[in-house]
Amino acid sequence: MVDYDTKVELCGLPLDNPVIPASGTFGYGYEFAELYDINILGTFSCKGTTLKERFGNPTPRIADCTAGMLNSVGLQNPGVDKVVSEELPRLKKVFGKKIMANVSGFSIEEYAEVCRVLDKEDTVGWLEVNVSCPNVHGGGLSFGTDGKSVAAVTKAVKKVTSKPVIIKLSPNVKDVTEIAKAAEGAGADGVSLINTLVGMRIDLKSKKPVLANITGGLSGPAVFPVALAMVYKTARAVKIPVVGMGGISSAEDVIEMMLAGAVAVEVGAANLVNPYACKEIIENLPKAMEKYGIKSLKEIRGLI
Amino acid sequence: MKQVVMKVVKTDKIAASVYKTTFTGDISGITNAGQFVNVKIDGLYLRRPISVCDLSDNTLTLVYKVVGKGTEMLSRSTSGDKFDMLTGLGNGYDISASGDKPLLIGGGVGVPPLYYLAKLLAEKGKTLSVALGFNTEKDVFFINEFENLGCKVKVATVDGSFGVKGFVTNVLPEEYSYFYACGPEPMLKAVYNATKTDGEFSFEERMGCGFGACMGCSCKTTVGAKRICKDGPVIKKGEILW
Repeated sequence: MVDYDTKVELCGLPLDNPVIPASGTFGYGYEFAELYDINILGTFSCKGTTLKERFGNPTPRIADCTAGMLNSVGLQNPGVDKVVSEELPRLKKVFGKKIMANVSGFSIEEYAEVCRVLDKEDTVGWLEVNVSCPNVHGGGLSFGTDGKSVAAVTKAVKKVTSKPVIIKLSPNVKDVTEIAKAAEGAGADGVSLINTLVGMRIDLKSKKPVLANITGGLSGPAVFPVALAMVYKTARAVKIPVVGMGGISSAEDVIEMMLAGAVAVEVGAANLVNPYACKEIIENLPKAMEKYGIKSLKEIRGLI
Repeated sequence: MKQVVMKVVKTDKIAASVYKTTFTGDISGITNAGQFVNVKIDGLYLRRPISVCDLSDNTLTLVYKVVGKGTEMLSRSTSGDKFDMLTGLGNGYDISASGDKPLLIGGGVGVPPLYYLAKLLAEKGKTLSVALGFNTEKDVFFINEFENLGCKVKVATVDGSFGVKGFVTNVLPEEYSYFYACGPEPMLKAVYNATKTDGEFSFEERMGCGFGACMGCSCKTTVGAKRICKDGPVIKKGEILW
């Protein structure tokens, strides 16, 4: 039997496979650890963490869409101190690998402070800095749509950590490659994209927006082609690793995203409709590789 | 939580826009009354959360009102149709808190989860009172089912076409040890103000996953943020912040 090599490397750290549940769709892992051994994952990106506790936006903050969903959760999280004192120790019991800590903020100082605190944690392998949440005003997205702000956040974060810093980018911009280049120029070790696309739904009975926040972020299979094109362009514009995400739901999607130039992928909405999505994708990867004549995932990056 | 494939036995209309679908399959994931299942429906992206109305042997009963595409498709299901479900979601009611004379208060499509609860409480020999509220006579369902469990049932309709004219709070009994309520939020608020004992409320909210991962359905309580799907849908009276 031929061995199919799913191992990849992300910013110098090895991953058994390129599959990473995306922030906000996997909590801190416990719910999924009740269903399967989550150590089969490449790693996972934990719920976005801010300096102080946040409840997020008013409900309803979920809406169904054709081949996808909208969310306007708005970064609900217990704040970095509780993440360090409660969530990470609990997480260690079910996950032996290093995690990707997802960080959000409302000022450059906040991003830096959260990263400084998380830098001390052994469990954290990478810092994924979210400059692209579409659901908070005056927060992430306003940083993520301007190259100068992204560079400033990146520089501030790089000063306080020795861990690889991956900047998570928004698709709600004129040219995502310009933002990616700004992050790279400021010292980012990688970029991940795409965060959700701004969208809305209206309830015909009440004639009001479904989401209390009016708009939210679209994710799910509907955004996959958009994400693929942005990853393709970005992977050609920067030399740092690109983590691809947006609607990935199968092993075939993973291969497609890697052919477009991603070194690893994040899986988001799929986890919510099928809690076993990542497990199934990982199990199906060797079969899909066999079908398409791929012996090593490392070799296909950006092949097109 | 368990992911299972359930097979439809039959679907019947039991009131205006209200349907009862029974399924056979593995129900071992469901451990308490007041829990719900999250149903995958072909062509729709997110699953649809529906409360458990009854359980027996390998049969699961769901009673739901057609309110959108998902419930409409479910209402057209027939014998042999298969549905992928996540079962045993949510905390369910605290049966141990009931006391000897529990009161069950249901409004409209909030009535179904109280049925399995009534069944479990009846098995424990409790003296059960049930107060139900509907808009009008053609919305009324499950009176006989509750009576057959030995419950003392009182009904209110807003237009007075069945039972007492008014709201469910007009038909609450004088004496009860504890209460369990499920229904639309305005009704729950009225019940909160009208009840004299401790009790618990079952809430609904638009959900992403249904098992605690996405934080889509959170609410604020006196003990911090709770996820309706995982830490609820049942929340104790003392924890509620309206």
